[in-house]
Amino acid sequence: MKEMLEVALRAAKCCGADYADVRVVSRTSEPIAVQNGEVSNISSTEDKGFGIRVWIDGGWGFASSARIGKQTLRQKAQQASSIARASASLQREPGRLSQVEAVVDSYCTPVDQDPFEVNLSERLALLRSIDEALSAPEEIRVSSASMTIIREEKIFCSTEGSYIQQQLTETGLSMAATAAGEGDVQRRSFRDQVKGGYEFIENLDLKSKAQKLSDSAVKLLTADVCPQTETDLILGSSQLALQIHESCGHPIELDRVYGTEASFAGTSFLTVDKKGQFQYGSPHVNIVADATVSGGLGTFGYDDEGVPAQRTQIVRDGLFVDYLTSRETASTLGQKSNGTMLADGWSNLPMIRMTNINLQPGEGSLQEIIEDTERGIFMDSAKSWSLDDKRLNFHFGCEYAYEIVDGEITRLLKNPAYTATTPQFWNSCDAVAGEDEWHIWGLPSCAKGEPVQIAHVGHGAAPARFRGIEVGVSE
Amino acid sequence: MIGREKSMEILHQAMGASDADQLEVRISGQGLSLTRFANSAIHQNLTRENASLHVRAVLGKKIGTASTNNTDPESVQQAVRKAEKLAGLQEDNEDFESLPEPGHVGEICNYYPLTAEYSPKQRAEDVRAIVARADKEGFSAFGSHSTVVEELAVMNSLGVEAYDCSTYGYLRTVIEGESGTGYADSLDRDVTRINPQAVAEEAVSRTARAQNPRRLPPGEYEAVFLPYAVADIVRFLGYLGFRARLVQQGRSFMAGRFGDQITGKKVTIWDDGLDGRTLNAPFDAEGVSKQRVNLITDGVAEGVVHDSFTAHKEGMQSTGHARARRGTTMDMPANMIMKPGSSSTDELIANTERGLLVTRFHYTHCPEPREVIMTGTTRDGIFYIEDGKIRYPVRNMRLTDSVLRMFGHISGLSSETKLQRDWWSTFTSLLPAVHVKSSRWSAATEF
Repeated sequence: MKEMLEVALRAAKCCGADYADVRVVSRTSEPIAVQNGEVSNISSTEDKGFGIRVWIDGGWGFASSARIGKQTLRQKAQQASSIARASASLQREPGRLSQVEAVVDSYCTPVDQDPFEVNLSERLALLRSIDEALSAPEEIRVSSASMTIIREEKIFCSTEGSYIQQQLTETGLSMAATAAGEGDVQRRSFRDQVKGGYEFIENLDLKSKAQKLSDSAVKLLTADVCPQTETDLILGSSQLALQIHESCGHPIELDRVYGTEASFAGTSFLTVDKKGQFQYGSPHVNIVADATVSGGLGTFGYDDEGVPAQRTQIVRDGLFVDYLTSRETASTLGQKSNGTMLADGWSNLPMIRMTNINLQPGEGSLQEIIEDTERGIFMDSAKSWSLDDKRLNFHFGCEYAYEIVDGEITRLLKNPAYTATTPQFWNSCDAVAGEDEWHIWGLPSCAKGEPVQIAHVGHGAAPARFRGIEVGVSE
Repeated sequence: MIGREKSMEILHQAMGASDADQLEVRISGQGLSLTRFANSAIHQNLTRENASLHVRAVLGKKIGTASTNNTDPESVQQAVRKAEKLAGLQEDNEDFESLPEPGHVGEICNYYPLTAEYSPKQRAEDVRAIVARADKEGFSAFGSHSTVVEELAVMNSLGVEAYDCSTYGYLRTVIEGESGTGYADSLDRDVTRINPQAVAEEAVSRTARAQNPRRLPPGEYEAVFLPYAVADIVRFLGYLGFRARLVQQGRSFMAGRFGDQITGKKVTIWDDGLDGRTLNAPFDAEGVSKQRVNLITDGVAEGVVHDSFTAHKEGMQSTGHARARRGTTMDMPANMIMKPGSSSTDELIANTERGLLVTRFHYTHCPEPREVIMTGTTRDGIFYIEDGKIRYPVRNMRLTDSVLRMFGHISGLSSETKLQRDWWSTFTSLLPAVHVKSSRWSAATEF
């Protein structure tokens, strides 16, 4: 394979490329899903091809094909080069790529039990049992359980001499119960995904989770609606994972900061003058981007520019200190890339993507935070999310909430929501629970770019408290 | 692209390799060429081409699917075998009756060779025109310019056989000034009908007007939504309501309300995949001819769209609304049309006493699907209207309101319509501008 890929790189060089890389990606996935006792999806998907990226006179060109052969590789190298020249014809400031060491290496996701080796009947039987548990109460109108297993084989080869092979394995599970009655519809759900094997599934207490979800969906039908008020807000770790994703993960993407996503995904309030200067959150807020953490959905060996996976401090004691970068954007800050350029499959360009963006744990437990709260509301499990195009103003809806009075949970609340602006929110954080309740949640659905690419990312979080937040916001 | 002849050859080969009781095979292919620009320079530029074979094998009432993007004979056979194997592992799906029967499928010519062959240089020239117009005002240009060739071929063992190949071009731009942005886009089957100068002019003039925005308190306002914004509002109706599966599960706001007045009388929305003013196509992902479906007529809930699965469950025929999704298909509107009114957009503004002119939304969501409560912030141009005149630009605001409630307060719709894609690119719909007497805004942003 290496010899074949070098044919493409030589062809790009012949066309005048200052730099080129080629990636071959083969992705196999087996999603299965059960809904209301019936198998709603059972499929197997195979997708393989290559993409070549060429840099000429400061302009990028990219071409891809599913047909892997010397002739096509050569053709696509030439096509990418001519596209790069068209890009170079409309430039303002010449770009530069920060240096990266040439690497010949391989990486494989550590897996105890290969999910592709687990009998399909066994996986299906597990989903059926979850679905059965979910649908037990008569108020449940829709129950669903699904499992995804993915294997991605990647080869990266560059004109700078890197040749990197990676095998990445993912295992994920989701379930949901929708209850109807009392003129209302309420849904509870669970979803998580890891870079890892079937051991992830086996370590989950799925039936018990399913029962709790469906009971909760039913109870929500008759629960009081979350009041509209300003109060102390405690978020569970799964909701906090999405909060980190949306209000920290996206605004720290340096390509967004430079406006390259302005026409679709938006820009960022974290402009470069804020680096090292801006109080993003309270001293309780410490955030890292960590592509090396075991089991994180955003964990890998190398990014799609051949830069090794890294751990980068993003927010230290509340101070914003660094971005997610690529080779090109890092050079504008006089830095080296911190390895976050990733592409969705073989047919897309790599872009700056989140890895595992983790809120580091604090001290104590959720129970202690609740006991320490005079009046407040606990919310968890994302239902809706919406942010402005600079990632400042946000509105999140959650599936459920509890009212807290004098340190005790008093009642279940439905249709909870909260709204704030990002710095105000994170600066109001006065407690993050400790390591025991810290969990990395896998989000396999981060959309960005044109054409839209989906990234699989991770977010570590423990429950945390935020003082004086507007909650219960609806129409 | 693969082409009709070769596509059919591959599909016949797949059919011949199967022992299933019923078999459906589909090839969906796309060739995309796209130029992105930011800060008045091109920063991403690509071309990609892929085609996948999707197999749905039916054994009695058991269904299995498999797909591959390798269409050599061996891979085709493997995909068929895999789909059959997966079907064999299942228990009966009692709600499944059959794949769709063949019906008449017409031909629509939506393939424009100049669009398929549009070059990176031509895209760069179009972008240059936008950049030049922005430069004149001291603004910066951002956006994307794409051309797409799509191919869909479907065959099933009951006799369905259909092929379509089409093109479209899509140019969008955000123009940025010191303290405000403006937006415009244009989408057409034929990229040569897209006028970059006109797109630039619209976005630049909006940007010029958007500078130095003032903060407006949240609250209740009249609002004129341009078609860009209407697309994001109607999206929720289509995605969360106009689908038979959601009605059957009791999750749609249409469930149990057919024949009821659910919005104001000025609201009429239908789906017509054969209407040439939309991104029309002759058939859906199951090879079923597209039919017109009246969704809301004069504010009354009238119908929802079906694929073969949901239709058979109710003893009906599919309305031709199967959309491919992750190896399977789902019922989904595809070509929504909102009935226009008789006013110009300027007249809608002139009829506004105290309200907002909204260009578009960003990243909207729906916290309460049954009431279709949507929330999202505006972007790229929001303006305060008083006594029928645009007075000044406003800092972006967050709308949090029920679409059904807002559409109960429509006082006018524009006579002109625009082929419009929503922010999420879920739908491309034909939409007018809409004037509502009441809309609820829950927050204001800082820019």
